[in-house]
Amino acid sequence: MTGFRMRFGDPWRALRELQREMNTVFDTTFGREGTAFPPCRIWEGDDDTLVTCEVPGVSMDAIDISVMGDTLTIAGRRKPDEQAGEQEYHRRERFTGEFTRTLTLPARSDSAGVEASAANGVLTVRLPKAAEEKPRRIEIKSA
Amino acid sequence: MTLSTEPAETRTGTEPTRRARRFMPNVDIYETDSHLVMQADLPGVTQENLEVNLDKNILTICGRTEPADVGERKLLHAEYDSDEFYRSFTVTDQIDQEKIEASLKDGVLTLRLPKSERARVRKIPVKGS
Repeated sequence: MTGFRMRFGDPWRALRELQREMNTVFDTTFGREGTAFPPCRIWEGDDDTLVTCEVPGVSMDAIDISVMGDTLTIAGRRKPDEQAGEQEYHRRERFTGEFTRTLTLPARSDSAGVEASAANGVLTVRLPKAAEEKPRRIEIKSA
Repeated sequence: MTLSTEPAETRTGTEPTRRARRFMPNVDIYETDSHLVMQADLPGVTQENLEVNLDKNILTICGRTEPADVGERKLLHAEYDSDEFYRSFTVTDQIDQEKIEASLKDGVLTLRLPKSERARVRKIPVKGS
């Protein structure tokens, strides 16, 4: 029995490698269609929550961000290229039109302190946690 | 319209040297009288991390993203994971390959590919007798 491990190492390694390769093939072949626009990521810290989303080509004044309790709503509109006019499209894969994303955050936020910024088509929203959500250290009194 | 000027998608047999996950960016292509215009979504890609190459009629777009600056925060939910965007197209000789222009703004790459003289639509005046 011990010989098995010694000779073959981790028997699952090959399978994991295969899975990774397959995922790469599918991701590359099918692109990223099927996810809601814009795709988002949520990060949680001790004092705040970070939300990033990919909004290439959307101007910041076309985005509305609202926060209520633990719910963040990002709404906006992506316009088609004005220069395209009525020209014929050979390919049209990029999303255009109105979008709304509603995300439930891990904690209620202090809506007054929410900050948003954008760079290279990625929107970042930082939401400080409401005071009552922050972890509190409870002192244990000795009797 | 002249469909033959459309860059056809292609797969080159090349493999990346970095073990990054590659994604195919979404692309729009439209045609005007004088140009083909291609727009690709490359969110998170800066000018320094973007390469557009034209080699033997193959136009390749390759853009890298930097990991998000999130400090000690934990990732809870992810709908995208961009390491690298990669896509290539065949450009026919109906395009004036010397004069392709590229610009990047807010994560969108715009390539303007001028049609070569002989690919442009010409109107032939009809003379009355």
